[in-house]
Amino acid sequence: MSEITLRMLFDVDTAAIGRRAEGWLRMANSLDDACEELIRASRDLENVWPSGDTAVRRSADLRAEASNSYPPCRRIGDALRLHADTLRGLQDQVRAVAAEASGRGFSVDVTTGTVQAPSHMFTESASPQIVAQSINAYVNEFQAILARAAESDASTANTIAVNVPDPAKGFGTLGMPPVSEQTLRDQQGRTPRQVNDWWRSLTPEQQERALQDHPELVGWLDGVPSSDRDVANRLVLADRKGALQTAADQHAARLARLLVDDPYNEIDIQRETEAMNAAQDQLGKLAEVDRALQSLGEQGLLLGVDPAGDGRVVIAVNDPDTARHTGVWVPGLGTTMEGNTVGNVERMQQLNLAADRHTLGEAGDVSTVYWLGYDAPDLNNLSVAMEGRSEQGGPRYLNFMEGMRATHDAGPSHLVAMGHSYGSTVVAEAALTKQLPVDDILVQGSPGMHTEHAADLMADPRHVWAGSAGNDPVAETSNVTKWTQFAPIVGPFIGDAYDDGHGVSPHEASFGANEYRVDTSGHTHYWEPNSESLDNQARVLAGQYSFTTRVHGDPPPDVVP
Amino acid sequence: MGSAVTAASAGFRTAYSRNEADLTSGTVADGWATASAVTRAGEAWRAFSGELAGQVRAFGDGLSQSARELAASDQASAERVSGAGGPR
Repeated sequence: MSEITLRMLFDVDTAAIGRRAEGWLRMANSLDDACEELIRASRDLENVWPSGDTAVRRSADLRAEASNSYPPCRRIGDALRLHADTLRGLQDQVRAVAAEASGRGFSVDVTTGTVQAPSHMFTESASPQIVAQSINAYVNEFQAILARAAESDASTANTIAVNVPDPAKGFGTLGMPPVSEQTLRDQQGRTPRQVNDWWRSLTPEQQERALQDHPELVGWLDGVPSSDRDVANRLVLADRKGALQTAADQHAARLARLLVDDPYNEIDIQRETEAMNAAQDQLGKLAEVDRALQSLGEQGLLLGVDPAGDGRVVIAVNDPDTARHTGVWVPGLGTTMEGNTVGNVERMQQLNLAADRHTLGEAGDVSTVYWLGYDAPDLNNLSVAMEGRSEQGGPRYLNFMEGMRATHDAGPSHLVAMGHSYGSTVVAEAALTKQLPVDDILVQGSPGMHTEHAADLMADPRHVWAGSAGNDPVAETSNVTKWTQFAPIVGPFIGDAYDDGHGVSPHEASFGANEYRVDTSGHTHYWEPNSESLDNQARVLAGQYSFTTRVHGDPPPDVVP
Repeated sequence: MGSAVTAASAGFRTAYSRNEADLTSGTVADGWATASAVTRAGEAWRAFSGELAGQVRAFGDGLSQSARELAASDQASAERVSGAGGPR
């Protein structure tokens, strides 16, 4: 262990150590990026050159060696960062001990660690030995601080030394063990921040194998970076389409044979018909997702896809992990994967374009995410009037939003929760936990948000924004009881029956949110290009609150671009 | 594919060079083991990243060369077949 003196501890430039730490961590991230580029470039080597065994082996070795370099580089950065923090804390402790001793009349030289008492302190004290004990106590405190500094120095130096590449072998070509399915399933019970820490601890090659081997698990794992989720979900999409097409073809072929060979076998004919139709239904849903992604081109990221039931799908316009402003929008009643994906993604495109015009940064600094991660209420039953669907969707949405925070890069991030119609109740369920990590809540055509007060959703209710077209039958339903209560006897009953059961609509002044102006008509036109309705949403998403036009409410200070 | 692999090699080289100024200090703080350790580590990592970049580039160049040779071989075979089957 090196001999550290108080002079050395005092003089050491902890900011410089911190800069070194950031340098090593940046290098680790650059190596990570380079590995991913290498993996992307060589991913299909086996397919395009099946007889090139030597090249495939060499590719695997290079990918492993490159991937193995990321964790040790990061460990050096982490160790230096911890060392800088530790020494900074110890410097503060030295100052605090010295200040206390000086305050009691002792003379302290922090560069040498000597503590002295003026002679009158001994003569005036009833117990001179207590003065001597105090001096010893201060000196011991300084020595304990120095011991901790030396320990941190030795530990950091050791971490650095063991993470240096071997001159001949580098970090070797032996790949790290692949991530097991069970390990991935275990991540589902952890917070997105913990998942992100775990994902970042893997080598790029381990991440690649996890994506390839278990894309259906990685694709929905909040805390995994969006670009990796996109790779996983596109694999899922391709695999599911292939499997469903094969199943549909097989059932069609069996059905054709039955109709020729056994035309009176109604049970089997019905079974094959239903199975064929089920496969084709799911294919139809995935085709809709395909069309939406094609319309986005390179701007699109597929952050989740599952055709089961009405289907769940999450699509981002631009990468939310690098965007300055991100809005995650929950659709409302009657939304299905097959019926609405293209149209709703188009809404997110319109909002993205409009918001991008209000930002000073380069194109792509706004991301809008279409989040159908819950089973939206159906049009043909009473689920829209109940809270069950939003209570199911709320926790999932909350987890997704925590994931957005965990995966965002080091730059500033303005995150907005958005919901339309019943989707606003999903946002509400997440916000009412007081855990939703967003800067604004922005809703359109909301039937109510399960509370009477915007302050229950955001600590500063000026960051809650609601818009409603005057003739929107969904957003205006909470007014029904207000008018029907005056009708004699039957009025309240009519009102209760028609009311939606979600509480006061958030655009009502009593709710305490900002109501932005809406110039579009009805429940489904809030995203019309060049409309005031769309532009006001875009202003909120871009943090340009003061430029919104409002019916009532006070805007908070603008987000600094 | 070969050219994409070759292009990826640049990332390994610049991972070090772009951050070099912050990886090791210009002046070593006397007495601190960390300072000398990080200086030695910087030298080792510079050599390693350069070597790795070179290996990746060589691999990418090799893939491109093999692809060109395979294409030339295919073309030659096609021309031989075409010549054999042509009018005499």
